[in-house]
Amino acid sequence: MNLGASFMINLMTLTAEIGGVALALQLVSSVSYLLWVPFAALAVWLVIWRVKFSVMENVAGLVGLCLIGFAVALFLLNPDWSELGRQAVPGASTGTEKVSTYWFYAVALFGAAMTPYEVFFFSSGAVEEGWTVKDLARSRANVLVGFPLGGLLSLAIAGCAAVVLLPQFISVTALSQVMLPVAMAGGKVLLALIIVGIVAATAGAALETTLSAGYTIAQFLGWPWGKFRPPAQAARFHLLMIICLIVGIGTLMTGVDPIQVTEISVVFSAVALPLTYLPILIVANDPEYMGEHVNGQALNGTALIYLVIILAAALAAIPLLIITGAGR
Amino acid sequence: MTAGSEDQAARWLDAQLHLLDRQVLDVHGVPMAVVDDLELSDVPVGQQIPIDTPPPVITALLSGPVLATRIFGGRPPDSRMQRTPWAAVAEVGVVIKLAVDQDTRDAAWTERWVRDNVIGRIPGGRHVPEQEQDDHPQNEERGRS
Repeated sequence: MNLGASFMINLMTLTAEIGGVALALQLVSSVSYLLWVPFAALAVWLVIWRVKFSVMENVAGLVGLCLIGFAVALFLLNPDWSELGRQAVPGASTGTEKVSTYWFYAVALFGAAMTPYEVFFFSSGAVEEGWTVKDLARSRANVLVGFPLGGLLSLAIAGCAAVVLLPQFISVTALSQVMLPVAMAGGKVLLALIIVGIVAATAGAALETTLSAGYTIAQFLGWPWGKFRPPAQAARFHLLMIICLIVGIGTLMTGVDPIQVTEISVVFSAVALPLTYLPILIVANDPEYMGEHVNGQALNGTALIYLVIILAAALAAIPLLIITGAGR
Repeated sequence: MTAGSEDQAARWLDAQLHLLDRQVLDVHGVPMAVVDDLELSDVPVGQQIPIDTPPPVITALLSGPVLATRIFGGRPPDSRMQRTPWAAVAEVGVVIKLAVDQDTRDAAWTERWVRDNVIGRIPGGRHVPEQEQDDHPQNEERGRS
């Protein structure tokens, strides 16, 4: 059940990310994104097939930093910061928006920040790179720097849209509209930078979700897995990922809106998160696995508080999805 | 259940807890399968068991397509289960280690089939990811043997 749910969400996210790469390429080329989909998927497969794990992770991450352009654009737009802050509080937004819509997007953002695949990807990534206890400090630093940075960037994107588009009563329905404020503020150079960033971020996520699909199934069924092995020595793992990519292409080729796939996948991520979180908490308390690093009481206390938050988001996600009609 | 502290000569194993669903690694530390079921030595059905009969022992680890039968009930036919004789088991811990190469075992036949007929035939399918392969801790055992 748990595996099936996680795997389906993973597949949906994978589809959404490939759609995202294709949409970003459409912005550059004005060729329909549908034509870009097979190429995006092929590129993802080639990277998984050939590129070393650490290279893959670092390049996608560093190029993705181009998204800082959104923060730059927000500063160039020079908005009224206090007004912007007021808009971010629940219920204080414009009259046309319901409170439930606000919370729907809050849960969606929560799900997007912590999709279950990240757990599979980072834990398997630690094995791929041969981590030891020494690397734990680096991993903590990654999380403490990376997540706030990601959160800030999301705020910057939302901020740009709020400053430029809200006064014009334009509601964001397509990726190109998100780019509009950037083009206004920073011109072509910033726009190009951000498109590169979007391609890198979505492609990076597409790689991560594809690998996660392989990791979860292969680890569940006890197959050899990992990019540190030659593909032939993790044959079923690689075959599975190829099939997942083909399913993703097929789904996108039906003409389904990639943005909508994304929205639904992040909402279900929020639903499934407790299913991923709880087993890890249990293993962290198992001395047979953890040895001397087993969780202490203070850590477990914090973890339980967090579990309550996750549960609340998970339980609220589906009712909100129905009430708001997916945020419209 | 686990009286298995290190100082005791005998270690208690709970089949449900310590064997079922555990990962099986071969002699090189390469994952092979998970334990889906256990094969026990014959227990006569429907007759009185004499008091001094030795208890049944585990004769093999079984792996097979149990996902569907676990959800919908029943169990796959014996012919679909791949046997790994208990004699091949070298160590039982967080994972179960075997003393044999997985290429000699039936449980890995799908892996070999996919390798030989699909993945191995795609260009680059057998390339070794340079450097990472050698100093990877999961391959330590291979270096030693």
